[in-house]
Amino acid sequence: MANEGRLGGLVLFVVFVGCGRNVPPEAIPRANQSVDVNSEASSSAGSNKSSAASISPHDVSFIEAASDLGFDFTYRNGQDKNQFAILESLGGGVAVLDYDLDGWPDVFCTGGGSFEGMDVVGHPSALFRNHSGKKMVPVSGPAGQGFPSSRYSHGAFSADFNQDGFPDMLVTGYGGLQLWKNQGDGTFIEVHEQVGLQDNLWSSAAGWGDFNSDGLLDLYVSHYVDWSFEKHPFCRGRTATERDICPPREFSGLPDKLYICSPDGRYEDKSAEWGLKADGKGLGVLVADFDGNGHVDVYVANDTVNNFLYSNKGTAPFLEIATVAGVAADKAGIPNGSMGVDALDYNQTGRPSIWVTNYEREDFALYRNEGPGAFLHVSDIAGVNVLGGLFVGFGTVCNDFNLDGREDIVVNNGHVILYPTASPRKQQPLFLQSEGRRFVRKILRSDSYFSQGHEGRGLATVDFDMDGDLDLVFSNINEKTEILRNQLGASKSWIKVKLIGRSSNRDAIGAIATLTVKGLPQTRIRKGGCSYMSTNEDVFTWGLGDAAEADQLVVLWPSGKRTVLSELAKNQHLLLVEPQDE
Amino acid sequence: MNDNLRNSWALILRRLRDPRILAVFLFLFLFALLVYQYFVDPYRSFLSGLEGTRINNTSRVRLAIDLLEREKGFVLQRKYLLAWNAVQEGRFQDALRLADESKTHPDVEVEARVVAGQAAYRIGAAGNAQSYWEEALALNPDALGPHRWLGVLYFDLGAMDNALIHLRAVSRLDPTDFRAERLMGLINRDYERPEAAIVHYQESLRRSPNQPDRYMICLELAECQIKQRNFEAAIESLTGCPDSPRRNRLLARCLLNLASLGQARNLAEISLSLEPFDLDALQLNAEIALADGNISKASGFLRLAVDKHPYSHSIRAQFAQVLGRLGNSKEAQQELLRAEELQKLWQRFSDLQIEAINRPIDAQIRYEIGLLANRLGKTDLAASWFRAALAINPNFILASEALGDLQRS
Repeated sequence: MANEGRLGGLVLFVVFVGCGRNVPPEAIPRANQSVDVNSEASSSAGSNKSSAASISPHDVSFIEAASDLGFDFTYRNGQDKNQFAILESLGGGVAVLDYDLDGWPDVFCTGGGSFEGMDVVGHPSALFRNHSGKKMVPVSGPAGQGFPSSRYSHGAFSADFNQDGFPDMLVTGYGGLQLWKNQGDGTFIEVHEQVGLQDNLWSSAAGWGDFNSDGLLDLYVSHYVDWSFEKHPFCRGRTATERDICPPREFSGLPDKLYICSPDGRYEDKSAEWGLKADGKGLGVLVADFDGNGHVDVYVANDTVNNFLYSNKGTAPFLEIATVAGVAADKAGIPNGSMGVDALDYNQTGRPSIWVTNYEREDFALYRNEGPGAFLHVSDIAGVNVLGGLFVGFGTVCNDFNLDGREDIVVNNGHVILYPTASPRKQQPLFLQSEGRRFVRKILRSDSYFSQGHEGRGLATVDFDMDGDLDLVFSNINEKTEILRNQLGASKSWIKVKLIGRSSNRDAIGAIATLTVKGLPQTRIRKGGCSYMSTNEDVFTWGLGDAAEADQLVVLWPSGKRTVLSELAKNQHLLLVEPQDE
Repeated sequence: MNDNLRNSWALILRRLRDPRILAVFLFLFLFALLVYQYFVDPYRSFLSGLEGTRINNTSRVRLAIDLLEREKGFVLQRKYLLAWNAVQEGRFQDALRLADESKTHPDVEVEARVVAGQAAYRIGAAGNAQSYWEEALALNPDALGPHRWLGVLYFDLGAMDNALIHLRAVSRLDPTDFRAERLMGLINRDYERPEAAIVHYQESLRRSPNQPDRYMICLELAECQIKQRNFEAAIESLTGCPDSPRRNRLLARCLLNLASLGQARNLAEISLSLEPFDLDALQLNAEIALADGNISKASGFLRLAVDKHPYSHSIRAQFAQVLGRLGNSKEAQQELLRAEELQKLWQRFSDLQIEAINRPIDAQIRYEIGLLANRLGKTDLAASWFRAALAINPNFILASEALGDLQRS
């Protein structure tokens, strides 16, 4: 905002006169004399000082695995048709799900779309079956031709919406939603009309969650902007005649929708009853219980307008509190171009802080959870600002990639316009390693995927080879979707837990699990939505460092039930089923 | 020839055989020639006066005006010098008339238009001034004067993209000019182009490392480097600056981002002790208190900041958040509403300024910006926008009244 420009100009003429005092400068403390990575922890009142200590760090490295796995898929945006439509800028996502319940996580990719004259058309999505971590084989889909779509697709959000034990797939995009119901025999059918999800606005992100605590999964769908070929202005590129994709400010936002699942399995639009705001431009949705009241809330990352935080008390309406809670905008109160979102307990308080990726010249936002309804923008003291505002961040995941007991952050970056000037169109992904209460960008091998530029969008975590460490799936625009295999050595120790709800929703979205290792608690939450247009594998991963076992695992289910396990041996996968009602 | 005369010549010739006498004679001869060349030759006199205008030497210009008084072939050149002198003496109408008359002579066609533009600008006819300077550039695209003045004109009118075009030309034509570079830095800083601002500030300092306002430039440079998140470079820029509250605040911002919270806190506290009501100082101390988890301390800083700076939306939003955390939800809501209202006004203010850039000679939009600036408590800024509107349209009664009201209050 150039809001006080000319005042500066007036000052100029004042300072031309008589500023010649030659006062010797005082000695300035230099940065390299003073860096203390734990200083935030050591100076923050009320923080758990001991929790900032590391267990023991492991180096992390990733290698590209898609080719070896036979995984070959590309999201295409129709850019070759030279329409310069904002629709092209969103890209797509990936969802990780075990659709056939064989224990190996599979990958679903949205296909995008193109243009035929002034018609928007869709490319088919694809599902890849994981063959014991050695091969990823495309599944033919209902018509033997992948997952066809007349819609231009973006996001993939898997959940077991009908609670039959088999994960289903929601696909968002321009033209409407698609809901692929998993029939349990390896096939899917598209059922959005049957279940009442007739949503024809341009949908982007979505988040599953049980908002009214009835044990059924409801659905929050964010919508982007009011674009069509009837509303398709010319926006200039580097020169007056060169055309580029228009920014979102050129369009009005579309209202989000909340669909509540009724006991008969149909979804009803209850947006008005639940008090949804109409002025968002949503690209990221995160469903989690931020205030610890036992009901999942919704955080929406909006592009160029204030983000939303809907506080949920279990019944309508939500209370939108983003501004007063301090998560609507940046530190100066200016709304950012927010895209990706995740939550993490980076400071090990047991409360989920919110992590948001933003546009270039803005800082990625880390909103520290300060207790119910209160967050603090701490990107500066957490070391995030030193990234320099050079990236246009999209997909993002927070997890313990080096299994040292602290959650790290990965971001998939890429520009949205064709002729950017401040940063390149293809951008490097980021690996931000947790070091106490600060994050440090880890520069990975020079020939690695992380050192190359991509038009990055979706991102999800998966342990596709089931070796305990977390691998990554990157969705890019007009570039092959890539799977990165985590190369941690044999010294790694971990515990993995998958939850199955019974009186809670079957996906256990909203559950909170805390693993204690050497007396240090590590909390994970089961989230709906998350990242950008993507769904992570629904398994908790904890790194144990060099510990041989975990002291205790406590799971707080959405229903309020509690599961406690003690003395858990390292390197094991656990499947926890919610206790039955007594 | 009579004998006396013959004797006299003989005497002179004899004397000239003396080398000392001959030297004196030759010296006197050359001196007379020199005097003629510079003070009696009218063209030389004119050139001397012209040089006087370039180096701002008023007495030299006036001497040339006197020497050219009876020279019928130098009437227009003399009128130009008179016009220049009239500008120096504040007689802008005279200057405009004289310069306008003299502009037809090829010797002064560019210079006269520059002076005419100056005079027109000073009497409030910005449009005329602009025309004179544009005409001068049409005659000589590399003339420094018109570029310099058009840079100033557009800067004053808030037409920053136009100002930058001419300032760039000034910088190119005069590689020693450090002020144009600094001004370009300032414009780019104010319009949120820190990467461009950094380049210009650094070039200004390279051209003149010891310029009088070098410390101010270092501070502005550091601000831009902080916006670019280049905290190490900002610290480097601040190293040469004398101790000041503003420098300490900038340094504290850098240290906050480089994990030195303790040192940042000390600097912020020192800064606040020197400037207890400064908005940045209060905000910085509040942020540090919040990072420390000391909500009531932060609340104190923010309450004072809101009291002293009631038009800052970001401080009100922060205050609302803190009030909410302290359980004062009613006041929090009030502050939040006010913050949202202010944010919309600031956004409108920003949008209007962008429009003003695209409409360089539009008095109405400048008047509207002035009104909005006044609503946002920026009275100096409001006055400058009203003046800009009046510079474009001296008969703009509403702008004139608004400026008058401001000056009276």
